[in-house]
Amino acid sequence: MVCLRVDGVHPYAIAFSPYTGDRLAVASAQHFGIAGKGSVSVFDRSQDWATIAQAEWKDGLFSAAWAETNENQLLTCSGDGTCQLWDIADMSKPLHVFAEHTKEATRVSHCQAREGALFASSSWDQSVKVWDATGASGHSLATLSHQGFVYDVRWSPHRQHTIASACEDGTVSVWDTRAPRPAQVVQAHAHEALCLDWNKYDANMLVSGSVDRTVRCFDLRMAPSAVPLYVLEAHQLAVRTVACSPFDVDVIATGSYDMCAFLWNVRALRTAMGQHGDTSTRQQPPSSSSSSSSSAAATITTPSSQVQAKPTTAEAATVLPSSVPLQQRVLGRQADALLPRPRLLSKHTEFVTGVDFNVFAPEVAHCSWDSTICVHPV
Amino acid sequence: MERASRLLQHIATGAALNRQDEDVVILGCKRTPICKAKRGGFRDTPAGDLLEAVLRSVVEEAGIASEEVEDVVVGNVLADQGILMARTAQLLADIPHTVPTVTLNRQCASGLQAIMTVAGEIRTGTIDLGIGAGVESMSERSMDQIRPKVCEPRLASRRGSIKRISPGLADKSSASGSGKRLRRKLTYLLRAAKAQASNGFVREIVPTLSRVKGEDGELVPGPVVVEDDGIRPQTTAEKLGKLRPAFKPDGSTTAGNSSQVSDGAAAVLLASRRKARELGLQPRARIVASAVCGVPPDIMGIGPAVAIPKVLEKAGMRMDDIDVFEINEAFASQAVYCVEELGVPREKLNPRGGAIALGHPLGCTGARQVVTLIHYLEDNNLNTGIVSMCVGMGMGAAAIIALEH
Repeated sequence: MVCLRVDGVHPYAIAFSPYTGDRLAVASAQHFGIAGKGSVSVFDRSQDWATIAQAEWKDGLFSAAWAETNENQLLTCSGDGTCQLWDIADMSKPLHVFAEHTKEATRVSHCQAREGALFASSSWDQSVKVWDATGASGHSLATLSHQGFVYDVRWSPHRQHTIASACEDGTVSVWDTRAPRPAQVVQAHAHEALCLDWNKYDANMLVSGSVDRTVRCFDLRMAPSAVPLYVLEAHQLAVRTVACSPFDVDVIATGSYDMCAFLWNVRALRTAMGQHGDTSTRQQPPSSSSSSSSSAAATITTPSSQVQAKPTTAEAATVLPSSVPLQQRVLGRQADALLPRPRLLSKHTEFVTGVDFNVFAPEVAHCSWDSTICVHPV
Repeated sequence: MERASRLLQHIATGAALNRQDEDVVILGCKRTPICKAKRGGFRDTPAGDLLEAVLRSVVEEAGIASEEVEDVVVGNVLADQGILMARTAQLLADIPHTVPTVTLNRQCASGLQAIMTVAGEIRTGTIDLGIGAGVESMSERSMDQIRPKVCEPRLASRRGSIKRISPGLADKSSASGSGKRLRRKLTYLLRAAKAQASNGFVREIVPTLSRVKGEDGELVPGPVVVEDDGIRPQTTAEKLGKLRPAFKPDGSTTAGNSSQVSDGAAAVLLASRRKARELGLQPRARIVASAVCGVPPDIMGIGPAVAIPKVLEKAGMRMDDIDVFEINEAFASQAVYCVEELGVPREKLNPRGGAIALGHPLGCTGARQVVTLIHYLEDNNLNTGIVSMCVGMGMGAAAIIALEH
């Protein structure tokens, strides 16, 4: 494990470069992001983790994302509502500043499709904005309105126009960036949803973390049912950041206000649910297509193009409350034994604010307000 | 400063949820009908049969596997070797032998004490899920049969040092024969009748198979009892006024203003909130706080007047925060004293009648009150209630229970 220190600032987010596993970008803020300046730094493993690029911004920087179209370009967003495009070869000033959000911008996420250089930003101004990352367009391409502060936005790794956002009202929404209304809304949590990530292997699966201390996994084919596939509970305080492994469909990293960074592996649980798939008709989630023989558990491992129809409210009322995850509906008590115990990556001395996986090597990095950045082999 | 306040809010919410995980919640509760001792529907039904009915019922209602139960605590006052009765009832209720049973006796608070003992076991981590129950068959065994074998002269000498009776209690007692008070008493008696007539008790009652004596004296299955049979909808103030004093020739306590001697059982299924969530069960209520106290044995009836302020203080609540008061009416005199001493609004007191109207199967009563309270709160969209009672030999107990919405 490597630990880097960034003295004087408090990291808010971390991002491995999609071009080389050696570069790590960190967005930070002075004074815990409550007041003061922000900074963004790029560390390079091939230069013994030296800081190869650094810039300051007038307000705290809360997120960093590498451009998928240019290995030297980096996006950040700030407490002042602006987003910045940087060239790490010349950090004297941003290539472009995207200024439309009227409150704190919380997250930037770059489109992963080959066509077009787009990115999305989420903000406390209750919106997600979609931008042309080249800055060629003078204004945002789309504004997606939410019912509360938006804490996280992630571009789908599978679908060109699809993003997901996590909102103050506990919902996780999935949007087609060309449409003004969400395609799907899942009431994922009873408290604020602070973070989310897409599963890198299943286009319909995403995980979200919340002030309710849980990490929940949803299959969007069950939406708008808020029945999670599984619920991971071990954090003692709000889950601030979550990331899905690029190497393993079952591996998730999380960071929390409880100062812990955890690594989870849900393989045993998912396998058991798959095995129970055919016999668990009684515990199926609400679905109006009663003739459908494919059980909900089976849909986890067997993606089908068929989108299940919305359940009627009457049907929803006859099943267990949505707080009961599918793991228990399918496996009952057996689920307890199969629920993964998280591996503690690090116990920080301040909030863990960011986690990210390296796509080139099996390792995960996490950063904390305690001014440390740790890189773990996994 | 929105950033700072947001952060604090995130942390505070998570911390509050952590604390809530330690809450003791109520997943289900049921009671048998309460029947007149020696004359009512359960006159030949053994206590164990009543207990079996409620134990089975709370497990089935919650839809859990009975081996999830980790302890069964039963309040009982009169039964000889009550633990044998309770253990038998548990096994007959198909709660497996791997689940232990214990009985306890805090007189009229036994049923509530059983619930609080389970709550305590959950708090300490001894168990995650258990049943607190109360049962009494006053047909099987009457109070006369349990006189304590104590050295009477020594007890008498102690008594002399205790002030005979508080002036307040004496005043209330002497006034209980007045017409005004009789009419007020009547409204409470009729509350139970109204509740019964409007099916207010249907949800909380488990229809219970009675036993009757067959021709050869053997107990055989009798009718299924579905209703309380001690409720007297026909009572009038005149009838109550004509009743003769029960204890002293010049006394005011009559059969009409004392609790009835009854048979019945009640059970409450409790768990930690974490366990409830693991089982996928929605908690119906939670235990907010509980307290017990001692008072002079001669004026044991003042128990609630001491226990209720104590439990409110523990919960950091005020009288105004309580929507319903289930205060056991051992006798009208002590109940009235406590109610006036505490300033309980009349409309919040025993809204479905108390022990004078329904009956007071000693060990069952505390649990029965919890069952009735929870159903009343649910039916009327209220939130918080207190269960309290006086306890023989000078004690009091009280618990605050709040619904989960």
